[in-house]
Amino acid sequence: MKSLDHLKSGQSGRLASVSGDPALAQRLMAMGLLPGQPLVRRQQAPLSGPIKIHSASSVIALRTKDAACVVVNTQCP
Amino acid sequence: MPLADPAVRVSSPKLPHDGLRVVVIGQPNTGKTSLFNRLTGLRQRVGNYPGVTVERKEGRGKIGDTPFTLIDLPGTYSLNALSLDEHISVRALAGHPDIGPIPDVILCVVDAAKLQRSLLPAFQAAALHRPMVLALNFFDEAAAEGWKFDLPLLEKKLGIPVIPTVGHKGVGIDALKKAILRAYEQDLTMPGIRWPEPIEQAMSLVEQRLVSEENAHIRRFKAQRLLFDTSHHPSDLDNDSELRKKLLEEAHTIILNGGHHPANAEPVLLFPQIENALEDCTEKTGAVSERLTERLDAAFVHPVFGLAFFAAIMFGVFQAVYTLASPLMDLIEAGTGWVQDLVGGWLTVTPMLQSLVSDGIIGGIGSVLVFLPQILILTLLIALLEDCGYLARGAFLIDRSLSWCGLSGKSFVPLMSGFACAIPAIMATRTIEDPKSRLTTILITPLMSCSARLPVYVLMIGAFIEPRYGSIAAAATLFAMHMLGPLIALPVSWVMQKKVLKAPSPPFVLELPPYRRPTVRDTTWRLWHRASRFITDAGTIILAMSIVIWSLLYFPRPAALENTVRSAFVTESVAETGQSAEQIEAALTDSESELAKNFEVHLAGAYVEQSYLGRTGKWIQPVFDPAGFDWKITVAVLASFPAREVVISTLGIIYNLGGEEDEESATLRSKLGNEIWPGGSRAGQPVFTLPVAVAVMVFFAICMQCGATIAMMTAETSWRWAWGSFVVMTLMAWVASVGTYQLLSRIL
Repeated sequence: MKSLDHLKSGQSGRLASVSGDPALAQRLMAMGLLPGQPLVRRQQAPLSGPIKIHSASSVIALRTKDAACVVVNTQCP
Repeated sequence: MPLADPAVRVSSPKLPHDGLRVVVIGQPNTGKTSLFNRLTGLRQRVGNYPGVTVERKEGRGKIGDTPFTLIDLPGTYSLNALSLDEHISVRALAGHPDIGPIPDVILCVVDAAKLQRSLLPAFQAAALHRPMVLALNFFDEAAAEGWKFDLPLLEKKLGIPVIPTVGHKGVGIDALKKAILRAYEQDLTMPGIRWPEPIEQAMSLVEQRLVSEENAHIRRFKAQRLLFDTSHHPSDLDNDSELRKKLLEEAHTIILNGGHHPANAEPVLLFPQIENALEDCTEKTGAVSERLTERLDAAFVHPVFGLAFFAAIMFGVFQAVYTLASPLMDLIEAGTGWVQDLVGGWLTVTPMLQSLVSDGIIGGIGSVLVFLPQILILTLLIALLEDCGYLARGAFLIDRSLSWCGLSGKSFVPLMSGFACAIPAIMATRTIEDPKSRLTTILITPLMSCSARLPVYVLMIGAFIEPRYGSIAAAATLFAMHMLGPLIALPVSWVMQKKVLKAPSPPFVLELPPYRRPTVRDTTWRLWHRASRFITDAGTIILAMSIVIWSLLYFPRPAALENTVRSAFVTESVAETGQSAEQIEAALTDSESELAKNFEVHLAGAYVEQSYLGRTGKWIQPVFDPAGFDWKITVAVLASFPAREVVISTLGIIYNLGGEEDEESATLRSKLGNEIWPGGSRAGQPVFTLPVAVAVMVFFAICMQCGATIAMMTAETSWRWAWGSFVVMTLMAWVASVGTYQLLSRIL
């Protein structure tokens, strides 16, 4: 279990849970990112900018502050 | 047997009076707009929903003989209204006095390759029990990716027509139209969602209290939204907020006790149902190859090359707006002048009417049209960047540099465009979804030093800095003037976002859509919409203001003034040239003579001094005295409030050089340099010293002297924000120019 901002670029896992503002979880779910869905962490924008993640149904970017609320299970890819 | 009325055709159900009302819902990036454009063609109307900055788009069309009105709702990821856009969509679906009655048909647009996630809004709207049609858009892309669909089975499971479409290529449009009519006539609706027992129980609890809603389906839809929405926009459902709070607490407790979480129960429970509906209907074949999008992203969001490319693109956009537009603007200005001369020639008999028509009205229309080239060029470039998917990457790259002051990467393009012109820049803020950061971006955009401020800088730097301190100091001053805006704007934005609007900085989830080729058709539509909105919304206000300012500069016009000025002028000329008064008078009657032209200029100057605006300038001068401004600079400042670019020609008129001066004019520069204070504490000293020149530049850099910007802000936000920021910027400009003058005159 790791928060998304601690994943290395290219590392994948499955979405475990989302804490913090409930709006974040709702937005992610509306974009097809539900718990259990696989995702891959990709590039980060310069100066610790947003982090890009790929899932089956979308490519989205999250600020580090929000990415820290997203917990990923890296054990089952 | 009763006689059948031949006028009443037996058709079920009866069509509404003005045709079908169809609303289009769908997630962002599903190609909704292309489909909308194809379905309606030329018959479109764009406006705002009352009181909010969400764009309202309506179009008309026909299915056979049946007319329909299509309402394009903003892209909504979910009907759980997190954003104002989504809130508008919920209101439009459930019917609202501000928006319109409940739609007859709901057209839901989904991305065929992302069917599961893009079906969420459709499943959320199922409770409404309205006829619905599903458009599987980007069907060709999905097929190329290896998706296969069993459409008849999907139609059967969902209960509504499912039409494959490729909106930007116009594929499936006729089938879609027929399906809309069919869904209406046969009342094809999605089956209601079956919720687990505790949710059902909580929902009926809320439903029972929504007594004012007569339609049972809408009552259920509203109950569903009340139950699951986390951010309630009040006023909507129940007037008694205390009662609602208690009711919802009770309902949420039931849900929690049932083992669900109210904040995420809806998507968590709906997605398995969506999956269930899609089972056996969709199949993905072929290996997942690395898509074009990922390969392009490797370059475009690269920390080094990506940023370099972004800088190059932004520089290119800025250059294009700055340079490509100027020949067109010159052409419009020349055209305006030509029409002014032509029409003015017809009205020479009535000088006041002549001046009203040619200076007030035609000049006003010209000052509206002159913005069109910049608007069209910027809109075109942004439309291309947005539609091909690059704009979201740019926002991704630059987000960090703007997030500290409460903005996001999406504010960058409008702010940068503001350096060319605030008008297209304010229009460009429409790509920012978050209403608060959009508002803040609109408010700080006029602080960016637009190209109309350049003449003031060039005049002042050319007259007072370059001759004395050299070209390097001149360039540095010019650069500093351009940096002043952002230097003030970003802290202002921080104050706005954190202190005034108290924007909670919601989680920022930016979708990076696949790269796609923009289409000529949709881009042209967008250009047309922007241009027509600018002319109808801002254009009318600009025209009205230019007529008001014209009259303030024209009236009063005492008949005696001409004679007074004439005799003073003759006396002066006699003294200067040594000719007799008769010779001078004779030369004045020949309107082509040098002397007569010189007199006209003097007379114009005298009229300006006499006008309401001129008098106000003299009267208000003490206010600007701490900044070192004399009454002439004050009048020039006042006359520039509707449009700062008139400052040079106003100075020309006041200094009796005629209105044709430009910023490079040597005569105007020397005239400014020779100006002496006539009295007061500074009597005998030159008016234009270095501190005054810099104070004038600082004033122009900060002040919102642009009626078009105020009009644009009024159209995009409200008159309160527009005039509020006008007042604030004027005060800031005054404080900054007084500070500059006081500081510089002490240290220099």
